[in-house]
Amino acid sequence: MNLGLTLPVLLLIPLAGMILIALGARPKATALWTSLLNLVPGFLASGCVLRSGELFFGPASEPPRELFPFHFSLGMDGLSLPLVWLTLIVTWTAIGTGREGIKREKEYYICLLLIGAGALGAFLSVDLFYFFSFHEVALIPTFLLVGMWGHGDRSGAAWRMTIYLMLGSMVLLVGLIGLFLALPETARSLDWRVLAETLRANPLEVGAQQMVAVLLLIGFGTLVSLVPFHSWAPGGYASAPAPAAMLHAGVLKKFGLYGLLRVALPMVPDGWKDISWIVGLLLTGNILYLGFASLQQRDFRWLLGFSSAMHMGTVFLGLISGTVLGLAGALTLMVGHGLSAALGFSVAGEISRRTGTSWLRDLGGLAQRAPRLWFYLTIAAMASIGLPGLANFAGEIMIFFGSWVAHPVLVAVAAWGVVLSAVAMLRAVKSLAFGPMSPAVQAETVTDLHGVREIWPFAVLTAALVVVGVMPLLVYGPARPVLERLLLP
Amino acid sequence: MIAYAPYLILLLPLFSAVLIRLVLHPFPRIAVPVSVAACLGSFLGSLVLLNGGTPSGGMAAPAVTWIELGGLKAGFALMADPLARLMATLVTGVALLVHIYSLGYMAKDPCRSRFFAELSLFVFSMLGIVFADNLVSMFIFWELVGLSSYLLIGFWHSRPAAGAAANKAFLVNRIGDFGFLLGILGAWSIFGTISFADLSGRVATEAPFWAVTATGLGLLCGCLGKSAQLPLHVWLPDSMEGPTPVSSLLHAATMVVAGVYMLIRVLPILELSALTMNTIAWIGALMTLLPALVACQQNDIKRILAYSTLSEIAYMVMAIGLGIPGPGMYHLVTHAFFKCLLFLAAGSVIHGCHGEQDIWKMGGLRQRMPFTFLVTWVGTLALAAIPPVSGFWSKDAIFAATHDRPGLAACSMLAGFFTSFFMLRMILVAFEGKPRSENARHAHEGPPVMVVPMLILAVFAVFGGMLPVAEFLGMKPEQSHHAWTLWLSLILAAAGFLPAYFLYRDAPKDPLQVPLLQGKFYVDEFYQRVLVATQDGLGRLADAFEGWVVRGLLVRGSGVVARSAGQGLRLIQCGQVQFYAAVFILGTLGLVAWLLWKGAA
Repeated sequence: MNLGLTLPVLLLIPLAGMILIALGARPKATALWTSLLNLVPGFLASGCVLRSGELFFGPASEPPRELFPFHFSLGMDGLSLPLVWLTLIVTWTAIGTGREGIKREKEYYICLLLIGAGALGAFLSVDLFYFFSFHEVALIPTFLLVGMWGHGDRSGAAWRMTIYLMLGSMVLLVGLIGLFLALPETARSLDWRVLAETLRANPLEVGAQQMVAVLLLIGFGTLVSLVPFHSWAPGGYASAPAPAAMLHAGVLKKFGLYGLLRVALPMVPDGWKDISWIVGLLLTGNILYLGFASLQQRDFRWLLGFSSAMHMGTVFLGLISGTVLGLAGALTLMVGHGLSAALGFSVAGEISRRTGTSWLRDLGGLAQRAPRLWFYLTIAAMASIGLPGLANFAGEIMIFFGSWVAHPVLVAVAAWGVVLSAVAMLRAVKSLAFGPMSPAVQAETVTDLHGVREIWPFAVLTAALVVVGVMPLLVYGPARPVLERLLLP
Repeated sequence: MIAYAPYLILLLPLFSAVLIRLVLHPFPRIAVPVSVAACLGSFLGSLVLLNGGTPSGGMAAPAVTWIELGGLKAGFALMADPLARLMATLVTGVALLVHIYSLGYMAKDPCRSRFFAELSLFVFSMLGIVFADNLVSMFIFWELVGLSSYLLIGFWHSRPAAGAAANKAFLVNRIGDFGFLLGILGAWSIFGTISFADLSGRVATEAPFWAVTATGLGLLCGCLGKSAQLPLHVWLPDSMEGPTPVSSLLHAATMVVAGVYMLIRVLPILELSALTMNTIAWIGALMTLLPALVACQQNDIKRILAYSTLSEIAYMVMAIGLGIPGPGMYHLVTHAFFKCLLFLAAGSVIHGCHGEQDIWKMGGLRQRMPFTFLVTWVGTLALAAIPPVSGFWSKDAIFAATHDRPGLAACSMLAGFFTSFFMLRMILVAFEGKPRSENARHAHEGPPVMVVPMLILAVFAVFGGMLPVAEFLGMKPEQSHHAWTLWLSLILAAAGFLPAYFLYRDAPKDPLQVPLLQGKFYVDEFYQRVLVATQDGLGRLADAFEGWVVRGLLVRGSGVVARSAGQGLRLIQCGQVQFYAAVFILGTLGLVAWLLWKGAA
């Protein structure tokens, strides 16, 4: 049975939710139920992918003869499968932690649904034009959420994010167009299946490969906050409302990494190998520079922003490892980081909502006052510093083993990054959780999470972190054939 | 059937921890017995396994795969060779006694469900280290032990000092684990395996000397962190912020010796390099002496014992460095009994004195707590290695191996002198004389659940020397016995009591004042001033650069340009980000479509 139809359904359900909300349905409930309902086609599609390796919907691409060379076709294979699930889970939980009764509630939930749908579209698109466009579509509501519902210097942060990410997207676009134009006219296509096949048979010449690889690195790298294109990230996340930060840091940011795995590695393999020393240099910047900077953050949300950008360095290490173990680790860490970042930002959101501040100096005593919140805070911190049993550790250990032979020094740097992030996170947990409540916060008003309605998003994210951490095979298993094909000579 | 016993032993405490966390948390009356029962089950299982297992440790139970990809084969196949079986019995046995003791010690704590859940988590993680059959799964449980230690040291959330101590323990261990991880990677790339069973067969490969040395030293780093040896020892004294049963179980009897256990597992790698072995031996020798000196000037009863723990573990480390794991393991076992006993006795004192930990505020406890006084003496004799108590036999086996290494012999035997000194000082000050505070005047023995575990441990502390540990493990070294090491160490140990007796017999306050020792050789201050300050300085530098240069000039500059451009275009837009972004994107997409169409046509 071909369940190809489930793929457009994955996009249509959130769309229907948005329309319903616009027409006046209760925003949070509608968003919540549609994102929950979306798990059903998710299950069906993944079942298919697990059985037959891949699943496609829509016309297969022929060489472009029509007006536009793009086809709306969707596809899912072992590489997109974990990311689709990450999107489904984080969208659902992010909406679950959203608040009710805020200003412009309708638009708020439409934006959240739109980010999730855009990310799904990007991960599912087979045509690079739609791949790119869906991501752009998902960025707009992100800016809106930061600009309208954010904290602190929200307009500045929204501007910074907009300009940075738009510039990054432009460079990326130039790279994609360059790739397209570098192909002989008869072989031009935007379908990644066709492109990968064509370029495997007839690789581009080295100069063109390097050029494209650099453009893709800058483009995708900006979206993933690779140093030195990172500075939109910490402040942007610090200003974003919690669900937006969860969705962007958890899901949308992974688009850049997914793009490198989907486009750069298979289509310009030699170019990517040639510039991997640059990547190595830049990722050291992510790990050490941002790691040290994160030690000095006084605001918990800024700290999470830095730490989230910092961990991208380790994923990049996996991408340049040149081994299937390293690539599988990068994919696992993408999922793990997505879940742990979502958990971290949601906990930070709850803390600042209940206390009115996220300044570490003004907080304290949460462990006694709000033991459940402390529990999830500890889980988020431990996941992000690579505690075994949680997803991030599985990814990190695979990256370390996979990169050790080729890049021992970078592995040592990344392993030291684990120490740095432990210092930053545990210091924060200590000042948030231990000791007495600070006089700056009115202790009576601070309550714990209570009731299933408040707890479930945290429990779901924690459970997902544990499941992936204990059985990383769930993530890398289906992707393994795809990753192995990437490394074929 | 017996092949599955390790799984049962391992998973019972995990089951208890998860059950308490998810369901039983609000009902301490059920949660606490569940945790104790789980530990009892594991202990009984270990006893059955101790006698019934195969000598080779071959396991018929299926392995669980965790990651198997591209040359890495990491899974959980439990290894139950004699070493693991002995260690599992020791861990669960001591843990059971500490669980029972905690029934009394923590009876009034409102958070005791959490305490017992964390204790169960610890037992699970520690057993994971014990049964691990490869380096990666050992590392996994190694980290989980670190987590339970972190949680238990920071158990009392209201104390900021507990949070600081928990952080210190976790972070210092993380530094050690940094080296441990690189060591594991090195071992994997040199020998092509991470499994302990394969390691001993493959070490004959002619790997370059520097590589095996670096790998060995990396693995050693893990031990230095977990077993609190120089230079990563600073966390252990601070960890005494946790409840005393925790100090007794984790930070004296079981967790801190995990480093020694790990070294025994990777001994085939370490032995490839004489440099590594010498480093281990010398770190051990120095660490027997230095903490013993520091302990002579400490006033907190738990800190005195904590420093003695550092010193005792160092004997085991030195034994590994000398290539005699059998006596090292022997001392590990006897030490677990008498040190756990001493800590429980200290806990009894603290419990009896209503939380007082300063020995100078005690005094006269002999009359009020005669049983505790007695078992403290038993523990002291064992610790000071006075025959015929257990500690004598195990330490003597280690001293015997130093007969041709005068430097090591000198350090470790001198340490024996100071050990006797500070232990008698502690007893005289805390138990003799007159009560020096109101709390000490109203001291009382604890309830039976606290007394009975101490009694059992005291019996083992006396007779534990008869256990044929090294023979059971098949690690009996064939060495000649040198009478001079026996007599010299014995004379030094006995001599240590004399100055302590004359100095502290009736001392109202400490007659000795050695600032260097009171300041613990200023290691903490050195780390704080130099290492932490350097790290924070780098942090400030990076943060300032990020804030002023990157965000301030470059990004804000470009933002201003774009915003003023936006102001100029007020005709078509309202200056809002979202509208601007939408137009920007749609425009771009249109442009791309046109370009591509043109290219295709």
